[in-house]
Amino acid sequence: MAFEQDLLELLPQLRRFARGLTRNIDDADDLCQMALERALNKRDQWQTGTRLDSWMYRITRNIWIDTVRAAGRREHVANDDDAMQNVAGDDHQRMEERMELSDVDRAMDLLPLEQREAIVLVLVEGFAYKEAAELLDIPIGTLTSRLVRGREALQRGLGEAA
Amino acid sequence: MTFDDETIVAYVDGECDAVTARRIEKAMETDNLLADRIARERALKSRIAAHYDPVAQEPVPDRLTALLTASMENNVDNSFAERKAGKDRKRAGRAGFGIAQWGAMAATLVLGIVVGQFGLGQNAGPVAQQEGALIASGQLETALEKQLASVQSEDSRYRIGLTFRSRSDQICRSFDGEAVAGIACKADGRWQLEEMIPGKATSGYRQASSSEINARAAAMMADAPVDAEGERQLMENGWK
Repeated sequence: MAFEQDLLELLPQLRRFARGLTRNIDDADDLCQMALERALNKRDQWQTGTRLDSWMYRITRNIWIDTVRAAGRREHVANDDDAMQNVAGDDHQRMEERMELSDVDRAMDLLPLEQREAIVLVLVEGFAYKEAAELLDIPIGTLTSRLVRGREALQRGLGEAA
Repeated sequence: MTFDDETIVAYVDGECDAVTARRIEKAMETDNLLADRIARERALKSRIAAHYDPVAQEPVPDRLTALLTASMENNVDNSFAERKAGKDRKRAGRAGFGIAQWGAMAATLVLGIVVGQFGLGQNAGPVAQQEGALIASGQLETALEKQLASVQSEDSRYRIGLTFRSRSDQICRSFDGEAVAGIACKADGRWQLEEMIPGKATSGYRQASSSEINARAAAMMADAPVDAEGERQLMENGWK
């Protein structure tokens, strides 16, 4: 039961990670649900004493890769019409905040998944390079070059005004 | 002095070794381009983090938390349902035997520890012997008698887990404490120990977890564990 309790405490972070991967609130929560189901089924494979967050993030990202591949789809692109509907009625400042946020969404959307997951793990989730590289099963050198290219693309996407 | 992109980014992410970090900081004092570049990388990092951080503050949707709370309950309920549905009583008996047999062995160990600490028959310890039966005494007895699982304080030496009616129609409660954990059932006005394993403080001997106690409890249950209200009513009725 401590296992479920630990997952409960991890959920807010896991949702943030999933949001970074999917860039969409519904996809992110669907992804979290699938990840939790898989974690509960495979709880025997988690080694007590190792980081539960790394284990969960790995499950989550593997499911997302499978989902994207299986659907053979271009990953979801943020729908600008929805964003505009959401801001209707907000005051000016809130609207600017939302426009600002959607810039980041748009810039993240342009990144290939392999760069985006590296960016989210290090810049958002605060993983050390070594931990992030282990989680993604790649050498540290590969991780750092993805981070560099991802950052360059984000700077371009955000008009270098970031 | 020039630094490659990987080094600059690693510096911003706090992944540089101390010597390189000092060299970068020294170079920034005179190299405006480098200083600007690092400022931009820092700004980007905080902008991306600030974009996603609010997600972790949002309330988590019920469908996600429900998945986990249902799983917690099922850990107890499943074994209860399996036993109830099990037609082969013999096999069910044998499945339970592993824990029961092990429990008896562990109880012997616990007796050594508990009795060694407190001495038989002295009510200061959590376990006493009365007419050949092991019964709860001292603070354990108080916890079983007066503590509700729904409102227990951190001060108590024992945590009460499940309260349920056993197949022999007694009220039983599982408990967990430093020296001893287990299940006790109310019979003839006293809490008789049905299952006992060493508690947290004797970790060298600890072989079972609360989930095993719960599995054992599930095997003893005539009905599902009571809820907070049921527990309160049972206490008012003297656990009958």
